[in-house]
Amino acid sequence: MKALTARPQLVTVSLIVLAVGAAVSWIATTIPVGSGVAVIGPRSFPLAVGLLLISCGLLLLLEASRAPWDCEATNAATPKLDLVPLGILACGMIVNVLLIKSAGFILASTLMFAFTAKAFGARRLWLSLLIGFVLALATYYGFARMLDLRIGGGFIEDLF
Amino acid sequence: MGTLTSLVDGFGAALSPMNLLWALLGVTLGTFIGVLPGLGPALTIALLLPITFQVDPAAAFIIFGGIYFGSQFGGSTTSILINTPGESASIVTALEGNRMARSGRGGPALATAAIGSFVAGTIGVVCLSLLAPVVVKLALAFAPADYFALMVLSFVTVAAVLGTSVLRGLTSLSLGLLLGLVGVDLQSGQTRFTFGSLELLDGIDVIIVVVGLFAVGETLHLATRFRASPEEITPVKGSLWMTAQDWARSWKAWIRGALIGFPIGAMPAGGAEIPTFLSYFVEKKLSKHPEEFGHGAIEGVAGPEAANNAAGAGVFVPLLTLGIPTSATAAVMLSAFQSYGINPGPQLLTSHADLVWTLIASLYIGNVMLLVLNLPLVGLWVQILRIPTPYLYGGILLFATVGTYGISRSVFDLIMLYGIGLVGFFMRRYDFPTSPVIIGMILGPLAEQQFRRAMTMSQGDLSIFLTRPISAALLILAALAISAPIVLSFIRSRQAATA
Repeated sequence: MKALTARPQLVTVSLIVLAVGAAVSWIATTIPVGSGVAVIGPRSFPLAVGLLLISCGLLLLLEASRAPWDCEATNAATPKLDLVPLGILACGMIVNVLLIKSAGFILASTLMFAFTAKAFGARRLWLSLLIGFVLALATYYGFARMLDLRIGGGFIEDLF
Repeated sequence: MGTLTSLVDGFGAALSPMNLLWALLGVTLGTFIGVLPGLGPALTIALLLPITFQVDPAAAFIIFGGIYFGSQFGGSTTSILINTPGESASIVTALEGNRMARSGRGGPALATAAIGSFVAGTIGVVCLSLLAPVVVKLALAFAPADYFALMVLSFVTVAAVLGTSVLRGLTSLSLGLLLGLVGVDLQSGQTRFTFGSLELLDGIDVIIVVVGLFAVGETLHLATRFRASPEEITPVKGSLWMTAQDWARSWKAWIRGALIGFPIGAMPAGGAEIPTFLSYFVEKKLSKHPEEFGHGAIEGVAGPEAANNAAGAGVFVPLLTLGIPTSATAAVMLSAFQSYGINPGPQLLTSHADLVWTLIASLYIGNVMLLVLNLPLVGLWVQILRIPTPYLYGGILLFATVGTYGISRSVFDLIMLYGIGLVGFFMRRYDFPTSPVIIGMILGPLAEQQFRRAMTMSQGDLSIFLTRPISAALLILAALAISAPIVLSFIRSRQAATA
C-alpha cells in the first residue's frame, strides 16, 4: 500500500527510460554509415544500446505497475522531499553558470558557496561569503595551479 | 624476469623519496575523503585526473592507489563513528562497528578495522603480485571475441551485483554505454549523438560524469533530506587498544576475510559488497559468541573490513591484466591509463612492467603508511567529521566547479555537470546504482572496439562468439548471471501474490 502512492512516479521514470531508448534507437538509424568497408559500421552499437534501453524501460514499466520497487521515493519512512534547500542550491548553480565567464571563477563560486551553505542551513551570510571567498582564492592559486588548470580571468583574478 | 626481481625493482622505484611523498599525499588525501561521508575515491581520483598531464605515470598511479586504499581505511572510521556508511561496502562495518562505538568500545572497533585492513590489504597485494603474471599468461590466449564476451560478462555482473536490482543496474549501465558513445567514432570517423555541437565532438569527459553523479548528485540528494535526519557522531571513549581477547577474536576473522575478499575482488565480475556480506555471515556462523552479533561483535567488524580491503586489492587484477574495471574507481583509473596513452591489458605487464611493479610496491608501502596514519591519528581524522555541513558541501561544489570548468573553461561543460548531477539525484531517489554508469561509459567504447574487431575477423558472422570455447563459456555465464536473479524475483513475486 505504501508503494501505491508512488506508483505514478515510478511509471514516469520507466516511461522516461523508454523514451530515451526510443530516441537513441531512432538517432542511431540516422548516423551516416560512410563509405568504409567495415563489416560493422558506426550504427550497430548505438542501436543495440537503444534497444537495451527500450527493453529496460518496458520491464521497468512492468515492474512499476505490478510490484513497485522499494526506493526512497516509495518508502513511507523517508521524510518528505524538502524542496526549499534544493531550490536555493539550484539558484547557486544558476548564478555560477551565469557569472563564471563574465565575473570570473572566484566571484561566481564564492556566491555559489554562499548559496550552498544557505541551502544547508548556514545562518551567517557574511561568514559563508568570507569562507567561500578564501576557499575559492586558495583553490584558484593552489589546486588549479598545481594541476595547471586554466580557470580564466575575472574581476578578482585580474587584480593580481 | 621473475616476479620477485620485478617486485624488488618496483620497491626500488617506489621507495625513492619523491615517490614516497606521492604515496603519503595519496593515502592522506584518501583517508580524508574516506572519512567524509558520501564522497568516494572515484570522485577524488576523477578530480585529480588532470595531474596526468603534469607528472609521470608512476607518480600519478602511486597517488591514485593511495587514495583508493586510504578511502577504505577512512570509510571504516566513518561507518563506525556515525552510522552512515560512505559506500555500500562499509554497510556491514557500520552494522557491528557503530554498536561497539555506542557501547563505549569505539577504540577497539577502529583498531580492529585498521589492523584488519592492513593485514588483509597486505595479503591482497601479495596475492595480486602472484596472480597478475598468471592471469596475463591466460589472457594472452584471448581473441577479440573472447574479450568482448568477457566485457559482456563483467557488464552484466557489475549491473547485477552493484545495487539491489538487475533491471535498474542494467538501465544505469545502458545510460553509461550511451554516454560513452557520444562523439566521433574513431573507426569510421562519423559523429554520433553530438547534435551538431562542437563541444560534444570529443565525447563527454569522464570527469564531468563522475563529478556530476557523485559530488553534485550527492549534494542535491542530501540537501533534500538533511533537515529530517541529522547525523550523530559517537565519540570515541575509552582505550584505543585491543585487549588480548579482542586480538584472539580478530585475527582469524582478518585472515578469513582476506581469503574471502581477494578471490571475489579479483574476478572480472567482482566488487567489494558481496565479500563483505559473505564474511559477515561466515563470522556469525563460526563465532563462539553468535548472540553478540547485532550488539557489537568485534568479529563482525574485523572480517568484513578485511574482506573489503582484500577485495580492493583484488580489483587491480582484472584492471591491470585484462584492462577491465569492476568498480567506478577502477574505471576512472583506466581512463587515467588512457590519458597516458597506455591501454591496460595483457601487454601492460611486459610493455610497462616497471610502472605496474612500482604501483604494486607502492600499494604495500601505502598500507604500512595507512596503518601508522590511521591508528594513532584517528582522533585527528574524527575532527574532519566536525566540519559544518554547510561549508563542507559548499566546498564540494566549489571543487566540482574547478575540476570540470578548469579543464575546458566551457560553460557548456558546467551546465552539463549540473545536469548530470540532477540525473544523479533522481537515480538516488529511485534507487538506480550510479557506478554502472561510469563502468559502462569507460568500458563501452572498448567493448565496441573488440566487437567490431571480432566481427571483422569473422567477416560478419555472429556465430564466432559461440564457436570459440572461451567466449561461449563467458557468454553463457553472463546469461546465467542476468537471468538467475530475474527468475528468482519472478518466482518470489508469484509466491507473494498467491500468499
